[in-house]
Amino acid sequence: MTLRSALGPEPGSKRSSLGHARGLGSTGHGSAHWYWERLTALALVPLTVWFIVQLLSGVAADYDSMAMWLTVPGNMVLMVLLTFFFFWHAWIAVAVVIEDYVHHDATKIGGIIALKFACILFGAFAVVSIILVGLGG
Amino acid sequence: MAKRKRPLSPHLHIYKGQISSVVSVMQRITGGGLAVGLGFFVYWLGAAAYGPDAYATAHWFLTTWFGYLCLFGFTVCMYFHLCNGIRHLVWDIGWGFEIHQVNAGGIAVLAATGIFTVITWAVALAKLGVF
Repeated sequence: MTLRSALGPEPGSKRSSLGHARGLGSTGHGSAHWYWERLTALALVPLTVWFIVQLLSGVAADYDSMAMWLTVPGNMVLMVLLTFFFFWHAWIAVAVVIEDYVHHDATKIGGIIALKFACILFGAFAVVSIILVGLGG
Repeated sequence: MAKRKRPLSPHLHIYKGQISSVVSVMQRITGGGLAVGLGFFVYWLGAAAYGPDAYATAHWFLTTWFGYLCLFGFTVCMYFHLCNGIRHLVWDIGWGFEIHQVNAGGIAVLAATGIFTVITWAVALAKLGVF
């Protein structure tokens, strides 16, 4: 859909209103963001509870405890998944907040692009860090 | 033609705070807080990857009074967002839309946030030997 067509029929157009509207509606993917926000939330419920319990058991008290903890494959996998779902959830949800409160188009689009690059950069950095520590780096 | 001043719809300040709206707004605010918390999460993991010295520095920072204040804030945000997020998931399967259920759910979220935060920090501080 072009921006021009979203604004309504061209001045002097012979097309009917219905003819103009046809094909401009839902692409059938309208609920995708809503769905993935919920799905990532569902995954984060057990993962965050697990993470808090782990922290309270003292795994982050010092470097050796943390390194030992991440050596366990199950812990490493769950930490990678936690990171993945944290950033995926933020990717969707923070974009919605920007869309709602930033009304200047260039700032809005720039903000969302910056958010998405930041999620990829920091998410990749966190996952690589977990794996390096877990493998004894 | 001169631009006429048109009436505006009532703005936010005219509304009385309700448990439903306050909790809803707090879901956004705590989500924003947790996005900031992600920065701390990445710093902590990155410090571990850079080795024992970097980790000691991160650990020192996170256990200063400022570090504790931030961690406490993230704990509140996390429990609130988690509990209210579960409330949203319950709504998504079609439960709890009566007004009294919405109000009770909001209060339950606030109570659970308080209780879980106190328990978490009691355990954390007990382990550190503060009390």
